[in-house]
Amino acid sequence: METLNFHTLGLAKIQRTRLFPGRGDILVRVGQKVDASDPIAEFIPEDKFIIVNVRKELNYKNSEDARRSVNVKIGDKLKKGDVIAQSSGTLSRSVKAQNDSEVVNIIGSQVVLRLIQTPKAVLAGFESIVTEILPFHGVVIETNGALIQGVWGNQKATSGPIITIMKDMFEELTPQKIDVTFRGSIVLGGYCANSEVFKAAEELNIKGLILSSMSASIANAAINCSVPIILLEGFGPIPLNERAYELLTSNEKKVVSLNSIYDVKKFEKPEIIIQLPVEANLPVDGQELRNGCVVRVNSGPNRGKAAIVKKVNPTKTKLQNGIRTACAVIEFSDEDQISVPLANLDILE
Amino acid sequence: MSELIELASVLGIKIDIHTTKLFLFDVVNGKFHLLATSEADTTYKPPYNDIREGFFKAIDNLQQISGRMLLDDDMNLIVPSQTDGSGIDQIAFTYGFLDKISIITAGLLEGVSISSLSNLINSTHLKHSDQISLNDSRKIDEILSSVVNHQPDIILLSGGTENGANKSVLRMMEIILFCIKHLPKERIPELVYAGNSSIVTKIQETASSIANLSITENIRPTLEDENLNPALTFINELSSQMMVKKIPGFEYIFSFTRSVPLPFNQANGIMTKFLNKLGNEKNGNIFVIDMSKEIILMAGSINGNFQQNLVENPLFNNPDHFITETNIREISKWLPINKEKEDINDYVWGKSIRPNTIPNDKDELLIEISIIKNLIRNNYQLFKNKFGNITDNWNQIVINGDSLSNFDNPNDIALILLDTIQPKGITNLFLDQHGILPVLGSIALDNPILPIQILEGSSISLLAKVFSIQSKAKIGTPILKVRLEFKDSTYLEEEIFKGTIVKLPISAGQIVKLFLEPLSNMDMNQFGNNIDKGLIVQGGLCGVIFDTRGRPIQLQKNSTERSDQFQKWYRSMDINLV
Repeated sequence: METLNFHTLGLAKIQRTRLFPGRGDILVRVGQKVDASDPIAEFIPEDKFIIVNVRKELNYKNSEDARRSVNVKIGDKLKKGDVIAQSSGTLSRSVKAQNDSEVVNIIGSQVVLRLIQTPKAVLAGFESIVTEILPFHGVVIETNGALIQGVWGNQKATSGPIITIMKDMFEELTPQKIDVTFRGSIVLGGYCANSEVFKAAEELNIKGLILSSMSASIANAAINCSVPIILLEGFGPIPLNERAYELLTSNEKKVVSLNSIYDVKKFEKPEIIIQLPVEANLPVDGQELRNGCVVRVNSGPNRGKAAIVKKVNPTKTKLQNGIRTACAVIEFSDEDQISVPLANLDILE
Repeated sequence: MSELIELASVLGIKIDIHTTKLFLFDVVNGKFHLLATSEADTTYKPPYNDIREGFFKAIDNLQQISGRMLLDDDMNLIVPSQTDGSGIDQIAFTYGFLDKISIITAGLLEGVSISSLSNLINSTHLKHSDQISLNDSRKIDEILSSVVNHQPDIILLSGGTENGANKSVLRMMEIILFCIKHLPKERIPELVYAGNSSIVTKIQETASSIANLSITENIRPTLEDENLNPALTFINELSSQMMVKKIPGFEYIFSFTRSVPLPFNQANGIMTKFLNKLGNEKNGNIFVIDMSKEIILMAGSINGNFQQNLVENPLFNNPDHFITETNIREISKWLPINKEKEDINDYVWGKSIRPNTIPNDKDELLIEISIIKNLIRNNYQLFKNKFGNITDNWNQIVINGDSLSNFDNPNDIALILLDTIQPKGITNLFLDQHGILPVLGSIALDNPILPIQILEGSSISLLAKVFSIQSKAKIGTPILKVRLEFKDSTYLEEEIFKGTIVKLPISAGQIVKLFLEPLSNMDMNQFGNNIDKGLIVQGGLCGVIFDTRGRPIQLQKNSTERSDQFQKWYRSMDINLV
């Protein structure tokens, strides 16, 4: 069974391909520097068409006459009110565009218009450089730095200096701890069970929230919150793992990119990226559990704790609840060892 | 018999987006047996982006388990089997990969070509993006918008019985071609015509300059008759060719198979219909549940009438959908232990982000079971809503599923089925522990003997014979006296009370004679005719079960009383709650 990999790396080359569906335009060029919330492309999620039947609109008896009255051509961009076709004679009538649109086809006396709509932006998601343009499809962006992948996010992106308000990995973030001095910062809090924290963050213009975990009862409030939020551990009271805690606190006040826009179906994850001026290698994806691997327990009484794999047992072990599954022996930093199902471990490398 | 020898060794391959599973069969003592299975994660996703990696891992395991070399030095499957014992005679492939190919259908009338098109698409794994009909309420520009936005891989047109409507069909084709003209050149779909054959020439003249057109037999040759098989065969072939482009590594496996690979639902459908014919009961009704990580498939054959419904398993594939569909109150209601709703909610959201986690303790296991029950219940309701007039009088229920592979106690699985499907009458519950049914369906095309012989074995185990008793008596009232007569002439008598679930002490495979005596006013016809002469029954892994909890099962409203209720039921089923 594949073990989930949530990179928690002090230094890595981070390369991401931002694609868009349908029709769109690339807004950047190779070599351009972009910030997390910069749009790098824009696209129309769904095209809308209108077919203008000139013959019917102008009451022509035949299509040829109707066609002659059309005074637009394919490719023309029309504003609302522009004339599409006009009949001749003293009592001339016209057909006008009802919306801003583009002429995509003229078949007989039918003019096919595509409505011009406000495009949707594709954001960079992190401070980076554009390395490749994929014409009509997307953009590849890249940077070097620390990478911490989370488990859940509310589909927003931002960047700003990080400040830590949790004094230890088990702390709970409450509304009282949100201070006006955090304005413009990305706050590293702990476990959150109170949706008032989100209101306070919005009111005080906090740029983003990094939480170790959150009560599921406030998940919908988090989704609706305008402040980007990322969870690093999961749902329920789970302490932040040491590896992520040390990585984030050691980069206090540095500018971080928080990207919690991700598509599970494309195997993406929400991420925190801290840009560093050092060249690095791409992280290894699709790793298998092996001895010496740094992991985190994601379930049970030790969840959130980081450990090292001492031994992977290929044969199935029967747990106390009767389930048979493959397990690994892991060792925590205090040298305590336990056996944990492979499925309940995340690789942090 | 010569066919049997020609295809003596068979490799069944079952791949979906999560799991690659292999089944090795061979002839032993003149009969097919399942020799070995192996499994690996499917490597469809990054960083591999090619299913061959997972396939080779599974083959490697299989080679080690079986001691048989299946790959040559060039990593090709060795076909046919060799004198040194290596290789394989037949390879059959069944696959998941739901919604990778999209299709728009176009027909004339509801109840005729439109319903036949729906029935056809229901037998595939295609994403049915849109349906255009003669009575479509949309304007042509809306239809154009739909076709351009969906950019289907296939457009399938049907309509007109033989020598029936033709002008309307031609009009539909004009609409389709008009829409296709607005698609980018590289996105022009395959066009398939499966309608009135008398206008094929006109259809070809109209369409062939604009799109690649294929013709197959009319799926609705008369108002009364449906003829789906030729179109389905064609769509399977076309889909396989398209899957080659969509799924890297698909072509490699396809190149070794005798027949075109089948999607799970068709392969499963072949076996469901076959099992229906095998059933001893007159007009036997069979219900099959396949809960893989990618797909939840429910298929039923009622009096020979086959229906199926398949959906993406939201737990492993769509966390947002999973959260929306999961009713915390229902999960809490069916939980046999008292647990704070907040804890259940945290567990459910946690599962949505890590669906593969294993429950750590008994409490988490029970929540997990409740989640599975919620999924089955929801999908069973979907199945019933879709087809209407679905009885719960299933003679046989077969369940297969990766979701259940962790459960060591078959009583858990039996109770999951009884709590969710709540069958009425007398039902045999079966467990397909390896998920072998669709594999047998894919093999059956070239080798019809193998599935029959495998089903005679233990690949599909009888979980229990269940008597679901309907009675108006009050809870706690004795309603039935059961007498079990064993082969050694000993007997056992037991009273059955209303509102209980009772497992009789009959071992798996043991045959007993069962006599039933009503102790309260009850319709004994629910047990069939000649019940007074006794019933010969065979015990399953969970023996024989009497379920008198009523239909629908009434749970106590008060949580403490409900907890007591569950305690009794779980104890009766030998399921430990601690």
